[in-house]
Amino acid sequence: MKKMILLLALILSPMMIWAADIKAPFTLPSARVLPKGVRNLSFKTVLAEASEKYNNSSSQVSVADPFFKNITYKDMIMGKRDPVDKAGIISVMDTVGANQDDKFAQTIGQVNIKATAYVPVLAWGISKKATLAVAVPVVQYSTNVDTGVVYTDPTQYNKFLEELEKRGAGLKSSEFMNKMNAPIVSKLQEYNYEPLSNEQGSALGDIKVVAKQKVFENDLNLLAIQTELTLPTGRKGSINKVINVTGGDGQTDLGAGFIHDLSINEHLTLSSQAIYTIQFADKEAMRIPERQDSKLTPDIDNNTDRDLGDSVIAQTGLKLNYSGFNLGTGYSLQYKDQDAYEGTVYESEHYSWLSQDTRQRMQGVQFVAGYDTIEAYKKGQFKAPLSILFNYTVVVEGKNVVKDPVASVDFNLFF
Amino acid sequence: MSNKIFLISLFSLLACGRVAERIKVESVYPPISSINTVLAKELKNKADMRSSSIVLYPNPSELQGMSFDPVGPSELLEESGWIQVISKLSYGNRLPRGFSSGLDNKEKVLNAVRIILSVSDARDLFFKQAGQFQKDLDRKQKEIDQMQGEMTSKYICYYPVDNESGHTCEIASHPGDTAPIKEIAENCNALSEWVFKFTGDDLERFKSEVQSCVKFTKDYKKMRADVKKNKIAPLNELRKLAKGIVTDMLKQMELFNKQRYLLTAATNEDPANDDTKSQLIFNEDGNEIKLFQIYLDSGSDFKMYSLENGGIQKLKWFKNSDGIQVLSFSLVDEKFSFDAELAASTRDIFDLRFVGDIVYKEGNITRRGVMKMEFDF
Repeated sequence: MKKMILLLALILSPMMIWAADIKAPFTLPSARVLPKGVRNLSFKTVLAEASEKYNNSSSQVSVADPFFKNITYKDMIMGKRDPVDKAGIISVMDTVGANQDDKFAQTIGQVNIKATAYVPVLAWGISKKATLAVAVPVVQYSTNVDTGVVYTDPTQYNKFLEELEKRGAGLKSSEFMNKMNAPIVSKLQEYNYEPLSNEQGSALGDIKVVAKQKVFENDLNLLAIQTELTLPTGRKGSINKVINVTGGDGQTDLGAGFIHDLSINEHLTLSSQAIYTIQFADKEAMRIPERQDSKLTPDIDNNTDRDLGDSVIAQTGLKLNYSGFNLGTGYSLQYKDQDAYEGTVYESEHYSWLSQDTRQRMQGVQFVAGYDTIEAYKKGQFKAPLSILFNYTVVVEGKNVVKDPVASVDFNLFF
Repeated sequence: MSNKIFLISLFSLLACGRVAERIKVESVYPPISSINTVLAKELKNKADMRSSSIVLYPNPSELQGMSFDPVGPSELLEESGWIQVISKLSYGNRLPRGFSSGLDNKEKVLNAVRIILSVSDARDLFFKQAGQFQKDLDRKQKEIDQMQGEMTSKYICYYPVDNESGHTCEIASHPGDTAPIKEIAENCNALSEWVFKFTGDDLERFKSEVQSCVKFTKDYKKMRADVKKNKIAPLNELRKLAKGIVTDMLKQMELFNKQRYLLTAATNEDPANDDTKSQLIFNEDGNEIKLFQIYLDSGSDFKMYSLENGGIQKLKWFKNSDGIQVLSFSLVDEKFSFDAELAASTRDIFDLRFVGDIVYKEGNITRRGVMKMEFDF
């Protein structure tokens, strides 16, 4: 035990407990490995929310932004597949002298998502230079959602209704009124989505296996190579749900990179790392957009060829350790390439629309504080070598990523 | 100190169950619109159907290779029924003029249905305009009748005698004569031919009033003939032209792929040769149907369908959850059937109508369509 090196930083790279998308990291890098035969059990609790995000233009918008949409004649026409129904709407539009871009109303919505990931990690020093670790995340989540509609100017609505009444189409006018009072709910039902509802639950995440190999060490520098295998064990999202909090994306990832520690003095360490992750292609059931701007679609291809974009993270951190107290700060830059989809059931252009807004970027700043009992253990003042770290990551810039900060608590036991 | 830090930290690890805040978005709805529902009194004494249309929409695959132009090959566009009809619609220039053979089949169906709906709109417009003219004539007729009545009851012919002066009349009964012989003119024209024994100002007044009445009546008759000939008749002609456009299109479709797209019910406007007419009769309270029979020409047959002969089944007359009075039924033939769900409504005091979608089945083919039945008040 006494031979254990003071290890505060996690031996694992920043956990991507939700696969596919990039997420804010919640640990600082470290090139250190466990001594041979030494084990480390850590338990991480990661607290995340999703209420705001950076969109494709890197502007801050609500996560519920897709719910905010104008309903125009064009939307109503394009939302119908049967040409008979399209003709019915166009006929009314012509009669009342309206145009396709004339607006009926705006749909609105709000979504709150809170998720807590519990990640037990068992690491084992299999040799004096190599450490193997397994992480098994479980995600607990709570979502709250509500949608509505706003008619700031009901002119088009009234004209449409009057024309239907004039034609004696009473059943169509009541159908129109019912749908327009809850347009999102109606469309979800029409397209066989599950109704929106508040949810609480838990899901297994993707199990990660990590191997770290020390390749160089001197008084000042420590260099390690790390490889990671993410297994598709996490619960996937459902194509019939609009809001999914998932444990995984159902496909296998392989990452590799290097980590470097520079010991500035006995208390201060500067670490940096770069990891590249390949997301292997697979087949997945997907909802295929019927139009380029479709948020909802009835079209499903159960064998869509999916190739999620590879990702890369570059991270640096400065750590201070003094008499058991730990402080740290770091910066990370992540990038994920665009996803690619193909299929044969619908036109190829429709599959290409799935790739929209899947290219991601994130810049984050981390703050870490904690305490460990290593020194106290060495002095016989504490019974076991433990550590506890609090991490707070702020997403300062991004593209198609959640903006909300991430907090985590990391408890470590060495034995 | 170390122990305390750890205990606090461990506790914080465990106490991490979090619930997302509840959300309620505030919607802003338009003012609630009232539903046009029929009243029981509007259903009384309904019998003969004034008009009906049952149109079946083509499925896209059925129009593969077909083209349609509402302007015949030998017609001049500006003289065609098509232009005459659509030029009367404010949005006529937006309408597609049929469809070409190379157009996507779904676009063909879209164009065809737009034509059907626009023609129906045009027919309604012409009917309403003609009806308004007729209503104005009827109102004027009532005024004339009232005026005639006042005049003929004001100037009663007492003790009429035909002599060299003509049909002479005394202007009042003789004193004490409780049952004088008297004659009331049929109208002002007849009144103007009689000779009343008025004198002086009374005579002048009588002549002036009678002449005025005769002139009003004559002017009205002239105006009525003019309106009937130059306003109402052209509108009725336009209605026929409009109907012809759709009938022509559907008949061409029927010829093209040997399918059925038009069913014609025998009505007041389209009577059968033997003068049979389709009928719908309610009870006194308007909550029950006493008789419902449709005489239908399907193109290959002319039959009567009713509850009694099993041609009409699953007949329901009810108010749905949205407060709309609905007539639903199935019409069953050996070769085809359709399910109809029609909403009842009144319109601009001109008539009572039932309009709605139908689902038509013939063998393996299923087709959507629309049915309309109209009754006079």
